[in-house]
Amino acid sequence: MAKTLAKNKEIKTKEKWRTNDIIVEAVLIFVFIVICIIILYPILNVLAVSLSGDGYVLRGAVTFYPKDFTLAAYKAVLSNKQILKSFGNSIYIAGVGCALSLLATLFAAYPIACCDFPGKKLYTIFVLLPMWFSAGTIPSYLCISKLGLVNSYWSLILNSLIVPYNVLILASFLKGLPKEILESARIDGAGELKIMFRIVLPLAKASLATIGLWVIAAHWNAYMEPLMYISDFNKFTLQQVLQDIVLNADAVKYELGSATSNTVTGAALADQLKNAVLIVSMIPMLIIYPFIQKYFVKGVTLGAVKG
Amino acid sequence: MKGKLAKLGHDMWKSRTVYLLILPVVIYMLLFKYWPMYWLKISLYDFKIYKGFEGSEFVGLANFIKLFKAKDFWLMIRNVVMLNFWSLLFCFPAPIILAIMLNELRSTKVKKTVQTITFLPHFISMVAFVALVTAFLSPSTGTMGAIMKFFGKDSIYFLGDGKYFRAICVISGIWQQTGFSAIVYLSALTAIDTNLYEAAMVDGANRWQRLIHITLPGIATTVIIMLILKIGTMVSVDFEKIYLLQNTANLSVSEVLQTWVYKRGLIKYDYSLATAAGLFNSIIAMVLVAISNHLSNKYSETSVW
Repeated sequence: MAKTLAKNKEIKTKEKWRTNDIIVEAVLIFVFIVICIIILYPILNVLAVSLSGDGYVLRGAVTFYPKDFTLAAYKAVLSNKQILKSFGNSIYIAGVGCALSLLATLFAAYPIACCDFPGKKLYTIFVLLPMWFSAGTIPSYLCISKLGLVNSYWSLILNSLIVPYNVLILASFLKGLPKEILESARIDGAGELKIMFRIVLPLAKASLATIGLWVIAAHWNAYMEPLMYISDFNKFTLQQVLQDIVLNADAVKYELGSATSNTVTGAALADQLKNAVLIVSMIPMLIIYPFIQKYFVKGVTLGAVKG
Repeated sequence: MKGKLAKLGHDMWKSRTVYLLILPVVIYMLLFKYWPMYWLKISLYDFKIYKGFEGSEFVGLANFIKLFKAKDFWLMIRNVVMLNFWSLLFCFPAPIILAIMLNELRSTKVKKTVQTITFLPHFISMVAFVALVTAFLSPSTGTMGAIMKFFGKDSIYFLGDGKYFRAICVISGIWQQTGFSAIVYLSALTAIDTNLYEAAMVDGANRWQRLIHITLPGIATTVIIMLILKIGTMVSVDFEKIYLLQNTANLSVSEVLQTWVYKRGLIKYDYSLATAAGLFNSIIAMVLVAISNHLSNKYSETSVW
């Protein structure tokens, strides 16, 4: 306990633990335990069902741990070509989308935060305006279709390349960087591009990591855009496949029914398979995000951006 | 005047590398964010995609009149207002409360664990999320069914009854977004000057008084900015969730402009009417932001722009 306290802020080490404080701490911890159970239980339940035998699943007897443990559902899911393909598609979109999006967001935010030029205010409004007024679904669709991007992953990547909100967040963060560094670099004759990549980029790691994670999550989890722009079954993203299998229970299209018919049967098959697909679709995000989490609070300082 | 112009020219020449820097950004924004705005004019036509603008008939505001006269229209307005009212009432304060509670917690280990767990639902896709909700509420195999059985009640098919729709939306929204929305408040809380707390302690202020007089005023600005952003996105957010939770049984409470636009435009190919509805949606959104920004400017000297 003493060690944890020492890590805390200075003010807290000076503070003594009064009875009152111990009660508050205990109550808070109790409340948080309840909150964590409420959040984790539905996910654990789905995981447990995906690993359980059909008898227990049919009776609804599975709670938060698997009963009659079996990996049959996962074997079926991971040997299904269509699911694996869509998994790969989603990874490609999220990876390329994230890299390009971070670059573009830096290009958009750096002049707002670190440069002084005539027309800066106009530029700031120009970049941030779509945050408050967007043309809407149909005009966006028509533009993408005019550009010939329907059924191409570029429709998904380019459509959300620059998100004004992310520009706002990054610009706020960059504004907090010490001005002297930039000024001395300019006096030394460094070009803007060099300053942006060599000085600002390394300093903005926390913010960029956070935004990068948001972009990856947005691409990985996107459903509306693929629904609108990708209709070719072979190009389906994981979310589209997930919707087909889990919400429409359309297992026939994916030839999932026959794959495990000798191990599990009937309605339980659907439940275990559905949940297995669900878990497989969630895993990549759940693995990535704890690594970036440490940057969250540091990377997101939301202040007013004034031009 | 001439001197000013010359100075402007000089400044612009000096900033030429910056202009080169923003050029690709400007081109992108024009192509993907502003060009669609030009396409908004199809709301004034009886637009047929194979005919183009030249072949399509100009109908003025007829599409808007058709929209306002549609019997679904006022139903959709009511649904949007009600969903947002409940969401603003319950989903908005939840992350503020969570952030303050986390801030009051002294054990950093517990704090980190709670943060990791409460952030988690945000990274679940909407499709997976709706699947979780469906599984949870399933009367035969779901947790909710088991709870109802435990209390000796008949299990209800919650998703099959429209009267539960709003509650499902709001409660599941709290489950999904509270942890993640708390981040901005947590970061605002860490920015509060610790000297203030020390001074207050010297003055003999207790925990509750420090919370009321230092912590809350310390995050007030962030709360107002988030409220403005929230109000601006109120009419357009949650398309995926509502679209996926929608079924014939709850359509009377779940149909909103966004879902209607999608179905009208991209399934029935009624581009003009759908664009008119979308434009109406965007204008309302912008008006809402302008109003809330004006209000916050007036009362607290905080504004987004």
